[in-house]
Amino acid sequence: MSEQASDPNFKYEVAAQPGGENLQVCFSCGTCTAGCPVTEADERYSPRRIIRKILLGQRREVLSDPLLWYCETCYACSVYCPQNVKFGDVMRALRAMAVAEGYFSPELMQRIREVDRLAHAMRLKLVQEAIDRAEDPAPAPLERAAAEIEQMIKDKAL
Amino acid sequence: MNDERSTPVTGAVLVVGGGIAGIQSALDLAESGYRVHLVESSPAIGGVMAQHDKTFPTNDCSMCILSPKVVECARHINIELHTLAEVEAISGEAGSFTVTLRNKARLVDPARCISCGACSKVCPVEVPSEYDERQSMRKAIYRPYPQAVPNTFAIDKRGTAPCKAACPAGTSVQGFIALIAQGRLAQALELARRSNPFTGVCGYICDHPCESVCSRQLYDGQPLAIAPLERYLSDWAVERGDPSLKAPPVTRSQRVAIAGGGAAGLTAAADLARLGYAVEVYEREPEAGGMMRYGVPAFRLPREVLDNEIRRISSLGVTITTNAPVDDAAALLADHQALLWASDVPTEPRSEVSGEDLPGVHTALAWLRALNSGQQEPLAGAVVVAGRGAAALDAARAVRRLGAEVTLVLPHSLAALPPWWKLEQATAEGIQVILEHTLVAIQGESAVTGVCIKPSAEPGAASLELPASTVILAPDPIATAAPQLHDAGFFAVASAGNVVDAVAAGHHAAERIHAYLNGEEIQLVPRIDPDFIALLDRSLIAEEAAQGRHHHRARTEPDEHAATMALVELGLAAEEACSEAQRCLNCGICAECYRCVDVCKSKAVDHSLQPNTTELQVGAVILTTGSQVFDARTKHELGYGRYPDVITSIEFERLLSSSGPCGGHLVRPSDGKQPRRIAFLQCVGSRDAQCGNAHCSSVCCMSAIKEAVIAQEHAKGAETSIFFMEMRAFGKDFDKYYERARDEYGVRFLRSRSAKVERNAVGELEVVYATEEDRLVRESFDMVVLSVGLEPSQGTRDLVAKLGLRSGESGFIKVGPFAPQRTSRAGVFVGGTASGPKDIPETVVQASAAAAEAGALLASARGSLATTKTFAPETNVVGVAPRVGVFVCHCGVNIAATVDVEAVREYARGLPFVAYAGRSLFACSQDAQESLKDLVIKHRLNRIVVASCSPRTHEALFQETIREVGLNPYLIEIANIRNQCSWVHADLPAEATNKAKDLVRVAVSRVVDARPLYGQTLPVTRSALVLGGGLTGMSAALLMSAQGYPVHLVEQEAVLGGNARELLKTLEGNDVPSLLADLERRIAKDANIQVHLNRRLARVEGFVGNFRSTLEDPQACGEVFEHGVIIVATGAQERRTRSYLYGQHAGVLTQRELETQLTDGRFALGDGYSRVVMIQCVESRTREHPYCSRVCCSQALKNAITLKRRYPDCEVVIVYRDIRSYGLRERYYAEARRLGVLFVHYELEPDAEGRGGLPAVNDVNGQLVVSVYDPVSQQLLELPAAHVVLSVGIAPRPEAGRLASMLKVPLNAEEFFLEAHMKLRPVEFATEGIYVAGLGHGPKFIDESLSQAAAAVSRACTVLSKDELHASGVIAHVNQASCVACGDCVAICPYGAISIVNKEVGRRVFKDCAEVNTALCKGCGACTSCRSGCITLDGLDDQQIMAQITALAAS
Repeated sequence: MSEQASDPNFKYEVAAQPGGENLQVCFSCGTCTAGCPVTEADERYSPRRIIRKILLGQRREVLSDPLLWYCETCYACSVYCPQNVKFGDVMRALRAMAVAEGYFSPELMQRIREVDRLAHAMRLKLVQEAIDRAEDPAPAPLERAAAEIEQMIKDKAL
Repeated sequence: MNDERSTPVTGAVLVVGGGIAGIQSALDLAESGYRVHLVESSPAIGGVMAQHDKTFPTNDCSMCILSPKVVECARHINIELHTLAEVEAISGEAGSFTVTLRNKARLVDPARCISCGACSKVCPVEVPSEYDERQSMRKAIYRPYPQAVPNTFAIDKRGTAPCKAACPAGTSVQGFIALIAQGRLAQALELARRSNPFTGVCGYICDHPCESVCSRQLYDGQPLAIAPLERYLSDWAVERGDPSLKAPPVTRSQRVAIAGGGAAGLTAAADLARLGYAVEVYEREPEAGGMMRYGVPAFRLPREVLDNEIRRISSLGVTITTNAPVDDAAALLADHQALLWASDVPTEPRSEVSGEDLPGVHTALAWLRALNSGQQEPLAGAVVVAGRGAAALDAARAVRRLGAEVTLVLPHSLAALPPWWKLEQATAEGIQVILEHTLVAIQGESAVTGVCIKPSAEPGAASLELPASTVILAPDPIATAAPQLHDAGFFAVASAGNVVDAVAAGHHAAERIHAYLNGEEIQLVPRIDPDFIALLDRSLIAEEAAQGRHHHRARTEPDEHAATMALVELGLAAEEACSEAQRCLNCGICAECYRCVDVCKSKAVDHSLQPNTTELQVGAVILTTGSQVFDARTKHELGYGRYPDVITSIEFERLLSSSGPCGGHLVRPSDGKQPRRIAFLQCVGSRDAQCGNAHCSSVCCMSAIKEAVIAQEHAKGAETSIFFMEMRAFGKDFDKYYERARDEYGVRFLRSRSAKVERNAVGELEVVYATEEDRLVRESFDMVVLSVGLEPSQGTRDLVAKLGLRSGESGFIKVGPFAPQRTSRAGVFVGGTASGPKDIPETVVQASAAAAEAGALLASARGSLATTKTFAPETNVVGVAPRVGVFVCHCGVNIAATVDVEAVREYARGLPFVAYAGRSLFACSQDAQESLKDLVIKHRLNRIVVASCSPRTHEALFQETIREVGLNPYLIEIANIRNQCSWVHADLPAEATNKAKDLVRVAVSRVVDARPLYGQTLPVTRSALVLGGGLTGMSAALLMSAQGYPVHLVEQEAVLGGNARELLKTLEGNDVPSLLADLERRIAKDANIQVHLNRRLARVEGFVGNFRSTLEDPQACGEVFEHGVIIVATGAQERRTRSYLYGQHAGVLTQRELETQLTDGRFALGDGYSRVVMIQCVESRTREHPYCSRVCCSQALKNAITLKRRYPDCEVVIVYRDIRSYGLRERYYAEARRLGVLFVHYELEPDAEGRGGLPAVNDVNGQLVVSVYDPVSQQLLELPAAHVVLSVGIAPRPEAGRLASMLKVPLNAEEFFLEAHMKLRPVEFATEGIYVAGLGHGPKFIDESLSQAAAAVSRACTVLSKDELHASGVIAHVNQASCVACGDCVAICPYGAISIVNKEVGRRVFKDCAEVNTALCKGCGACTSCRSGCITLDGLDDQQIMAQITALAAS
């Protein structure tokens, strides 16, 4: 880390956001990362490392990082955190700051919100399909739902 | 403590909590002249330490080191144990408190119980063992663990089981169910019949109020099938030919007549016959049985069951005369001493409906009576049975069986019907039931043609007509009046509701008659205390619900039997009965089956004992109520309670223990297999603000390391992994233990807090965690151990509330600043984990410290309540022919079951010099000890051999007993025929008996040669020398003076204060300079303290109680004074360093320098970067200095917090290896982070990829730059800093070595003083009378030093309070004439008791030779390895050993 990249005020700014008040109490235990479903899918994403970079004052690196948008806001991190660092809320604040500071466009933010909604709808479809076929002795792959999902994606034109 | 006191104080102390802390406080005070009341809520003292397997860092067996203290506590004449007791209230004030204790009833008399365990063997109730953390079962009558003290069993009785409480006859329902569950049917039946001679009848027809209160129905809706179980017992007996009873002899002259052979009359008859009366029963009917026979139809109660029970009663010698109505009660009473009127037949009142007198209208009981007398004809046509009486249903079902169509009209709603009315059974049999209707009229002219009924609730509603040719009315019966005799001796029972009420009435009548005839109070069944009924709440029930299946009562098909008078309900099959019985939840815990009473040979069990309250007068209170472990179920994500192989650390301790549930075999709970991969998860319920325990539990890191190491020793090839955040190995030698675990045992340490434990598809446990480099890992393990944290125990919380004490973080008792053993209430002190998590030595130190404070408070009353034991004058045995008494012990069945005790006794009688040989069931019991004393006098015995158990546990007891009759205590020998014969050769009784004879012969041959021995009596100089005038020495001196003893305080500097002169505030914000000023002021005022400044110790001579010291005096020849004890408080110092540009760049400071600059205002941040970087563990925890200085992390936190508060914009970075803010200091770590302090972790060595390792400090053109690798963000940080602050650690004083050799006390490898025992003797040296406190012992905080100072005073007072000291009689002697002064013995003696002296060994023969200082010798015998053979050990000399060997060879 070069000294120039460090912004000592960054952590105070994030901590001042609603939900960020316990940010600095983080002792880097890593339960957030261990419990995170996104990390499980993609190890580049780690709540602990993001918090660490905030505490190190690496404003640009944190706010410009596309990984910011990987969070599913499931709040598992908050459930596991022994220090009550509400990382889900911290993430909200970071995204707002990233848009406000021009690292990402408001349109991207909107578009990712739609992705989240679509993802929820897709999950429901797949669950429904699995339940419908729960009685089948040898359930076929979930192709019927997959087809519907394809259609949904087309409709959304994402 | 030096305040003037006008009111007298009480010389007794209350210690609450019998763990190691309580035991230590109690022993210290009792040894210092105070009376101690030690209160413990469980049946035994020992606490949590007794549960542990090993202790760190020495791997000592926890129980082995604890046990002697526990035994000492129990035997101490000035310690009164109050087990199973709780403090209800404390009133009064410091110096004079009144304590109210609530004592639970142990139900076993400790004076009689000899702990043979017979009761426990027969007890049918098993409950999870608290000692084994519910991993094994114990009985309801139990001893918590084999070494428990007091060594007395206790009955765990939560209360009377609701079923028993509900039974009018007081039947021990839970008791017979427990016995059925174990297949002990004969005992079960016997128990049920104790309170109910009509057990069989009740099994069939009792209303069973017991079932309606059964707790089990709150769990699964189904009460225990108590009635069928009771019936099962009776059926089982009848089937096997229930034997008649042996008629008890008629022992009394009085005759009792009973009018009425029903349940009440016959019950009373049986009771009275058992009491020895001649009893005659007069029954008006042709057969006895009353309502049971004439009121209940045979399809509900088979006549053979009734006949059998009546037969058994008559077999007691009761005369039953039938067809004999008693018309003239007065005449009968004239030739009997008592008459019981039990002949009431319930009569049925008129129903007052029209047509009631028509032919074909009957009343139910009269109709049933005719039926049961065989006078009823088959019925045809329609029959209506109406009314609210209980007989209505019986009548209706009987009518149905006689072949008629029946309509049953009942006024009740379905819900209002009593539960035992099995209406569904009636309808299934073809009975038409009309509910909520009342019969209002019977129609017909000369015969019945029909009835009118109306809804009961609406008398105005239209009536309904039913055809009927016969009507049976069932009004509620009313009791007939008994004859009104007023003569003495006349008793009557009212007619009772049902059988069991009648039985109860019969018992009661018999009791009254017996009392009348005899004037004795008797108790047939225990009275039920309504406040003592075990009502379980739902959560408890759910927890305890057994895994049994419920068996519905099997029933034959209704159609099949509706036409016959045969039984409708079938009984339970044997296996059904057993598994039904196993559903019982043991509400009362103790089932009151009284089997323990029956088998206890010493009659120690008494179920009638009641809880009570007692009041104690004490001057001070010490709370040692401890902590409890966090309930891991609340961290649901870790799987505890869901996955059997996730267990807590304390459960794991029990699992490792050889006295544990698996005998020390490390197996996992799910499948009993040895686990290979074991994970330890740290900080479960600690450092966790989310669960409310933000504090660090202080001990778990070391516990986990120890458990991992021991696990690897138990299970070869096991792989252990410890998941931790910071390894808090802050204590003395802890870091070395940590490194040994890692490097020698291969314990894997992962710096990670795991998030969750899951079970994967193949059933393995998976620990999910992120590595420090942020890789998410799922790793499978065979077993997961949760290191559960400590929180205040319930007892601690309760007392905080009861005594109005202040509590601090997480609910621990708050202690005063610089007074870690004082609570917010004067005179109430605290020791151990009640005031915060701590490990055993700190607990012991604080407990001793609390004792010192209590002792100082009560110094004016020292000795006022303490007692000393006096012994009879000693009998001379020298020159008297030996008369040996041999006492062979049965040890219950422990010895007698294998060894032929009588044969051993007979053999012993024939041995030379044996004047008496006897046996006793338990030689150690109180009465056996008394008898032993009598026999010594009677037979003029002068040597004793006891053939029993281990001398380790029992020799002291026998020694004391023979001292009481004037025998020297060394004239006894114990032959351990239990452990060495009956136990090890249990399968070879003949050989075991022969070996027992051999051991007795050997013991006799040795004791014949025994001489009386006398320990030396030494005087005590009642003053102390305190070396070191820092905070520790100053406070030790003041406390010692407050105890009433003069002190010499020696300081090598010109002023008092030591290191504290440079300290300002503690981490907690307490002001050090004002503490120092206060101590200085008090010392200056204290006439008892003589301060010697600028002085060092030049020489010390002597031994405990009798030291003589010389001080170096540059001007004079030295000051000399005498004193009884020495407290070493010589301190330590800050380590010097040259690392990290210290001394080369002005910006590099030590923490202490920073603190000074921050205080005196010299500190300036500089212009450029306002950043301060602190580096921890500078030259600490390295190969050269392999220990942690304990305080530096907190010192850094303190200074960082000050900096951030004063300069919020200043960036503070702490570069650390492990932040060791243990215990309640954790909050300051959190506080520092909250303020924005940045923490960067480093390791001593770089990782495999060469990253990390020690930080570097560079001077870049005058600018300090710290480079350190941050493992989480995986970047090298370059941090320009205005100041670099070094935590340099604590080093021992260079002169420690000189002092150690002068005092002959050891130092450890780092040159800190080494205490006698790391765990249990933390402030003592092995050399008696010398104590250590403060930094000289090792790095520690001020409050810890002060605690140690007080503890050292407390231990020293156990010496100074004595008038004289007694050394043991077993000591070494040198034959100086043959000694060659080789010096080997001097080198080998661990107590420094031998020295080479030049003295006269013969007439005018002077030579160098060894001499034993008898005051220092401990009788260990190491010196008897003397090459010249000139050293012998008294009491175990060569002659005695040769005598033993010869005796052994001459079999």
